[in-house]
Amino acid sequence: MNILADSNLYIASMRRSGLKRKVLWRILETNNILVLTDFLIAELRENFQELYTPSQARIALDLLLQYLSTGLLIVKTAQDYKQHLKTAAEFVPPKDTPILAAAMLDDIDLLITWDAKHFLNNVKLMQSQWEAKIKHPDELLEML
Amino acid sequence: MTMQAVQVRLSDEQLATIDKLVAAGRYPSRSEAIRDYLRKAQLWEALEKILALGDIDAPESAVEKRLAATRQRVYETLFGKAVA
Repeated sequence: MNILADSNLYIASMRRSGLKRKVLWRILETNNILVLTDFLIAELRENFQELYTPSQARIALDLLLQYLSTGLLIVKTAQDYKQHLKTAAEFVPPKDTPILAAAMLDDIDLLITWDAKHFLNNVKLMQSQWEAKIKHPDELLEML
Repeated sequence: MTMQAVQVRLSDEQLATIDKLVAAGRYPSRSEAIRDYLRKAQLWEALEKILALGDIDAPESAVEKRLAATRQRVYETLFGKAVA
């Protein structure tokens, strides 16, 4: 499966403890294809600058990408998903549209997120054709 | 990808473990099983390097809040004018 993981999964994978860290590991371990986007990479870079010391932040993204590239990885750019940005804006706040728009691409099977407010418990979204693609990490773990 | 044949010495126990997985259909061959084990070892090593950076100290709720704020900022930088 081609799996788009929301940024909270990547941040969770950088924590030393907790079950959440295991989700990303399980995706990679089971030979699924992880899909990153330019937006997610920019977001992760910003987050690392806030979560780590300046010297750690510089290498955190490189290490994460190195970790991810031990598995199967695809990177999508705005050129790929911009066609869906307007449709995505009908369902989620503007800031989340790059994520949903990428998930709307035909070759993306799942969007995995812990964001209940804007995705998992979003009634309009859950009543749409996109519902089948959006899963909680626990649902994914049951599938793998 | 070019593959090279190499001789590898394994204990009876290690070979039995691999053969059991091949017999169960998890891997099509011994080679494929060993390649997958190596890939997982690389995955683990990369993870160890990440964790060596040190833990993220902030509580989860604070991290979540920060993620939302960062997303807003990154969106405005990259897409702010694209979808008004």
